[in-house]
Amino acid sequence: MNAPNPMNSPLTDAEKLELSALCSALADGTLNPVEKDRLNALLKSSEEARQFYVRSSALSASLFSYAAEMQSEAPPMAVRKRQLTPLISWAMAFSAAAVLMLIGAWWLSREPVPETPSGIADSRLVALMTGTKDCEWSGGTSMPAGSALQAGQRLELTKGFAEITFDSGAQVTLNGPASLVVSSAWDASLESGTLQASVPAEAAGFRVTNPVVDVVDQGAQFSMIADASSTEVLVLKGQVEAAAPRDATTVLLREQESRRFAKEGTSDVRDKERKFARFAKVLKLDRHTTPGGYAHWSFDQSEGAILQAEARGRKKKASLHARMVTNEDAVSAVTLTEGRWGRALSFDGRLYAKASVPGIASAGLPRTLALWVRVPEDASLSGGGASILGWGGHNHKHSPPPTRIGWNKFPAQGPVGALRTELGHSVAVGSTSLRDGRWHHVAVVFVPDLKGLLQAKQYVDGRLEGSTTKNLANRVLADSTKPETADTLWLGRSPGDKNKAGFFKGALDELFVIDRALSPAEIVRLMRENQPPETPLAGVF
Amino acid sequence: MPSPETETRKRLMTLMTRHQRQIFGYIYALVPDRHDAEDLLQETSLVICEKFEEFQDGTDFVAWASQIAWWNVRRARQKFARSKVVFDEEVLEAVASTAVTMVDELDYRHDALAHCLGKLHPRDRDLLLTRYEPGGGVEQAAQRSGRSLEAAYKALTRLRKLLHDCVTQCLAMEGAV
Repeated sequence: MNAPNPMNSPLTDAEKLELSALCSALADGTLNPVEKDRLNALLKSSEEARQFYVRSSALSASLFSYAAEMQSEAPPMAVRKRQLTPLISWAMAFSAAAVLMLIGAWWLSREPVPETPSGIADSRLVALMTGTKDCEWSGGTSMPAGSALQAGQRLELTKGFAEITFDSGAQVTLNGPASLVVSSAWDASLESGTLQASVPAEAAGFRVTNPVVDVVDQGAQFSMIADASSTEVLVLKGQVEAAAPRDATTVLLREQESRRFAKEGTSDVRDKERKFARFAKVLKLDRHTTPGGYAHWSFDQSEGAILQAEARGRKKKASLHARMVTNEDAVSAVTLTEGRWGRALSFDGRLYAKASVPGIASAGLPRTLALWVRVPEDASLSGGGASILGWGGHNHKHSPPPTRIGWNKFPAQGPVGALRTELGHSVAVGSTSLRDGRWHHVAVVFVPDLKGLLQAKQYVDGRLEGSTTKNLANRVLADSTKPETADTLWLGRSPGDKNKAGFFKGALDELFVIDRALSPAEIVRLMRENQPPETPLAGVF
Repeated sequence: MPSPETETRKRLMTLMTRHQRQIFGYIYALVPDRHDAEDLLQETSLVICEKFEEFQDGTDFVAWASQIAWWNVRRARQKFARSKVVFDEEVLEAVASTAVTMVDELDYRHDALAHCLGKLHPRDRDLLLTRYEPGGGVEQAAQRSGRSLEAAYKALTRLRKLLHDCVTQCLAMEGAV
């Protein structure tokens, strides 16, 4: 018999409780000398205690990190040369910018390199610069078409025109000199200058604010001209609600109506005919287009158990097929049903399909998955069956996280039946229930950034419904260890699903896997016309 | 074409940006005071910069950086007042050995924590984040939430236990949709 290891005694229940209390006291800085000795004694005698302590300590470290992330929306601090010690404040300690600054400063202290590191701590991308014309930015910053914009980012345009497309689908064209803060996918703050907003029905509710007026769009085209004391609002199409916070009045402005809001009250807009005529002109901007191929399953016909995809701009076209299988992996027949466009692929809870899509699990590339989904009203809330699509099977530190797109059955996370995208432990849940027996258009856009963050944005029936971000920093972005798994897109189940309570029940139609991030307008067009986006194609894989 | 110097710098920046949190977590387990741990993270980062040429691509960066952090912690302890030192030498070594074997698990726990934080009542989440935010503390959290100091300590203990259990449960449920 082995003698008990003095460094590895198991903990009794009473000791576990005691250890938990000691760890908590340590976390809040209230540990007294007697308790300190007791903590040392417990940690000395038991590996289980040490593991518990390390988990408890890591919880606090993670909480510091999350709390700092939420607070750090401030713009980056300037790097001062050769002043290392006071350079990083506690407030910056957990942001990526802090490390970049430290290393940058260290490099600068070795030899003068004129490159200054920069970065914004909050990497929540909410908009994209989609068009520019003769732009000059304050401080000589370069902001070309295609630049991603983050929540809280301030744009100081000194000259020219810049078009910003928000993730909600709202499009704003700034005319310099102008200052705009991109607050979220759904709102912006115009501090000065002129903007023109074009808001599709899917982005109704988009809001532009400043101290004198709060404009909420109801699916319209409108313009705002702001200076230090007043803001003019002119509606070209549709209608907007304009509220003046100072005197708590709200007016509804319809097509060709306008109003001037100032600290002292509201009044007519002077010279409005000329202003309306100016905003009616169409601008020609330099636009940003990203090439990308796609694969498209129409599910209109099958050859035995095989469903062939149409592909453009991708290599290995021949391998782009989906195969219908049962849980025992036996080849089975395909049931096609009436779809949203032509026929659709039907799932009975027993069958699922596997499609070979080279590179699907490579998390380092932008991608859009779009399809029509019909979930029965009585879809079971217990057990499985909530996964519609999935890929990337390894829940291993060095692999990209498994990704699952399905409907939500966890009330604590959001409305039951709403679109749910899971990137490892990061989850986005929408608001519209898919579990109503009707066809819904679903699109999920995956956008990786250079800092190792992968963002997933969900659109249901063309409207933005939630997003989530996963830090892939400690993972390799392409899973090269098991290519056969890395290439598999699962339809009607996800890689980790067990068939204990069945797979997905319902139908899928018009599945597109697109090798780039579609814009909100492109998603709406795809939904309405079922036509792939028209952009230059390039073999990404 | 970028110079080898620029490439090395980029590589270092990428690695540090990715793994800073893990290195901080390791230091914080050994020196459970956020200001001291932060100072040590800075010092460790500078040593990592200086020694980066010795790091071999393809090997475990966190393990390598943790080794550097370990020596920094050892050195710093000699300067700390006796009252500030929490662990004796033997315990420190044992905790360090345990911590390096748990890097993967702690990563999962960090990710799962985001999910568990999302499940908290917003009032509880605010209390926790005020306690942990830069410049925050138990007193600020108590003040902002309108609780007595004692009630805030109790609430924080309860919430940490709740999160600890939620994270453990998430890991146990790994793979289930």
